Amino acid sequence: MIESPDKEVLAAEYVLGTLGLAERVQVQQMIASDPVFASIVRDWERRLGELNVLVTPVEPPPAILEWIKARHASGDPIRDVFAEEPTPAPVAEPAPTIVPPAAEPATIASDADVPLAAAVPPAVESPPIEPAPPPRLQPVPPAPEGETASTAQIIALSRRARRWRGTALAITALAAAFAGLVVVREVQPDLMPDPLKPRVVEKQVEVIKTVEVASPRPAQYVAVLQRDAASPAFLLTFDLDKRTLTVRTVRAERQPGKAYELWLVSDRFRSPRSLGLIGNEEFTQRPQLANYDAITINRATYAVSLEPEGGSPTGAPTGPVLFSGKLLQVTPPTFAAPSP
Amino acid sequence: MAGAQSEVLTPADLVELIAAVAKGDDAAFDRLYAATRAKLYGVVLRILRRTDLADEVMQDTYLRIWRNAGEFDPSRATPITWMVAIARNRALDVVRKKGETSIEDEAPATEAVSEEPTPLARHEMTDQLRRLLACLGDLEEERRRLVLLAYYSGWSREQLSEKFETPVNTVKTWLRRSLLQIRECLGS
Repeated sequence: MIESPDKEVLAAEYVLGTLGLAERVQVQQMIASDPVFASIVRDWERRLGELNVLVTPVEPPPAILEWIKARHASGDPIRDVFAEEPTPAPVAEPAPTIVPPAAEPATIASDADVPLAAAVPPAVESPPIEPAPPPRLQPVPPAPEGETASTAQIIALSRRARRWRGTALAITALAAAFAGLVVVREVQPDLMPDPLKPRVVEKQVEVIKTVEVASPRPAQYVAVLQRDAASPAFLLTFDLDKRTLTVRTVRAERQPGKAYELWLVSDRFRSPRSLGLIGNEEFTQRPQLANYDAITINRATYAVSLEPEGGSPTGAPTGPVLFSGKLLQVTPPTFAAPSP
Repeated sequence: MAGAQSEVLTPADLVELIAAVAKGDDAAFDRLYAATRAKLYGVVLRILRRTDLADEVMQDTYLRIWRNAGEFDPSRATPITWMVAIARNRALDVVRKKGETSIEDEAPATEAVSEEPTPLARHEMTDQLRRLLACLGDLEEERRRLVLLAYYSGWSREQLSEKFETPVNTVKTWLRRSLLQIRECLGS
């Protein structure tokens, strides 16, 4: 029955999960084209699958079933993980696409991703994020002024945010889909697809409210660290209330033996302070900012340097500083305001 | 309903439910979901380590189960190994696509997760599992841990190499020998 040990091992490693991305793609093509090989894979799934018995069950968020049903009813396709471009070509601004969210509200609310979710413009004709002067506690920040540099950065952010939305991944998709739904519901209820009209929508409204309650005043700050459109970028989102910094990595290629390290540069300190390594995942949360006061955080420059794996051996940046930038305050878009 | 309690269903019950789902019985899907969601969520969450990703993978997994229920062949797999395979494949695709998770970047809590799976009630021990565990028991301690960590945490060769402080090629060799040994030991 063993055709060749190589195929056997390849199938087994595929099932075990140790293969890298390219090999997984290759194996999936083999499964599709070679019934004998597919059968070897099935056999390994049966053999190793027994191990599931030892996995502790975890209760998933209740909303997931609703989303599965809504997606099933609407014939929503299961997207191809591999076909997905990290930064897809700018899609023509769609009318609010109902992208079932990735996550359940309660989980999100307790997560570091909230600030980011709130900072990303909604899926509808994005009301531009307005830059506002540094932190004041007024409920409504004044209208944007002609700060060209920061405005340009913000516009770039807004564009990027729209592009990311196309990936329909994780939090961005969640925020976008929810925000979009809410706006649509208030402005053009007829655009709502039938499966989503009923109570599911009510749930989403709750989600938005939860997010707003979590951050009742404008306390979201962002910084975009990028040199040019082609280079890797990092989006920092800082939540003043929670003192957490979330780093979103965009197109930053992992270089063998190297790591990206984030620094806080302030005239209050003689040397840059490390905020830790930026993980390889799309999002990295950095709670270290709890050690710094709000003014320092606001005025600091944030920089990313390229360091040996494991981080700077000296505690100060040793590699090239690739990017730096300052935080800008953004006002979460007002969901109630209809777009013109 | 989302709040439905998990029922304890036998594999035979699950086979029937999947067959009913394949025929378009939506109520059967609800029962199938209720009976299996916590197991599948546990499986994918362990690999993905992020609830947002796990939630998304759950949706895709159950959509696939729903739409492909007719492809389930009870002579080739048990219902739960079939479903777990769909969920794990999806989770592994997502985690590989997103890039390797560095072990150091894991939240401390995840390290605290025991490498050894939960103690299980005797009645859950299927004969197949007992045989598999016996075969795993024949492996050297370190290789057994390697295989189990790969399965439960979805670690790539590179991540295993980091964790075990061993060159990737050695990991590859260990995996190869271990898997072939398991196959021979199981004899089927």
